[in-house]
Amino acid sequence: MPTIVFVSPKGGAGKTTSSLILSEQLARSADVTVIDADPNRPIENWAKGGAKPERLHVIADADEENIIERIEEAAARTPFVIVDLEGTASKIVVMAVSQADFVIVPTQGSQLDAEQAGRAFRVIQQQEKMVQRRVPGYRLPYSVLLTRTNSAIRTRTLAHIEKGLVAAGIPVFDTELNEREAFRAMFSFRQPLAGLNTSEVANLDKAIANAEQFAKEVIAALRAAQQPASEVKA
Amino acid sequence: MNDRVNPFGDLGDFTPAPAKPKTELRDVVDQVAAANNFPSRQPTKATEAPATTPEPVQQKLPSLRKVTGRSHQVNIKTTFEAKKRLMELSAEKRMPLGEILELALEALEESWTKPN
Repeated sequence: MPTIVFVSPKGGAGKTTSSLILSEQLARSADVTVIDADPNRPIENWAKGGAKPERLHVIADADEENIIERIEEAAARTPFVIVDLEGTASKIVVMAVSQADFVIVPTQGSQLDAEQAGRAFRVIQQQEKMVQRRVPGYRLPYSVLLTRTNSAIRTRTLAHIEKGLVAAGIPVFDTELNEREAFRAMFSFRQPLAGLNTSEVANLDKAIANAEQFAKEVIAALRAAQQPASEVKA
Repeated sequence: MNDRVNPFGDLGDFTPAPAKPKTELRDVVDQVAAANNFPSRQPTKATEAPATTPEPVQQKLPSLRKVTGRSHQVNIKTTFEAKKRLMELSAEKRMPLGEILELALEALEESWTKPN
């Protein structure tokens, strides 16, 4: 059921990498459709490498005209739908958010990223508010994913940004996606993490552990988000 | 590395969903997009050929001008007398100069073909 949309109006925040990491991890246990709505089609290109997991399906013809239909079709077919968007402030982002059950806002530890992430929060919050007027009880949960963080050192800027997010009541995943060679190698070798070779990619085990931890936290957040809805039904 | 233990367990509680009724809320999308300056960046398709404005039909004005087919010009140097004779002939017979030239040539050729 869950449609997870990765949003950041800024490019390079880690949307594609984090959405592929999550998709690939989920595809180990369930059918997942990735809607690659970035005009550069990075996930489609990755899938062309031929190592795409069997339970991972890629749809790469989504644009502003058909994104809502593509998400609906995918949600009816597979339990998980993941939408990767282009890093711009464009209407297709709002359209995808309108279909989301959960929004992930990947953000690097820089002021520039944080400012643009703020635009994403406003869209999500306003969307939730406006839909609530017609659908009482509607909720659009979201969370920030800090990306490309250093696993050993915590920069002051990152600490400051995280503090600001928490103070503003913005949910932040405990798991961060660390800066890892393996996350880049996925694209250069066009392989899932598990398909990479430890002799070619440093710290692959740490990258996999990081990816699993991220996926686990997302699953927990999705279950938590589903909870109130099922309680209401009961 | 494919034989790793699956860390996520059973995800069977997540199932495909029927189409959501959210599609009816497209006006919300428009409002949220406009309010936050998330404009459409979809390239507009050139499906229709750019509307070719029909050429304005030029209205024909009434004219007495004859279509004679005489559209080539000949500049001839001659004497004043010869020119005067030609012009007078044209005025007298109400005949264009070109027609006089054609008739003159015909007559000349005829005179040449006639045996003396």
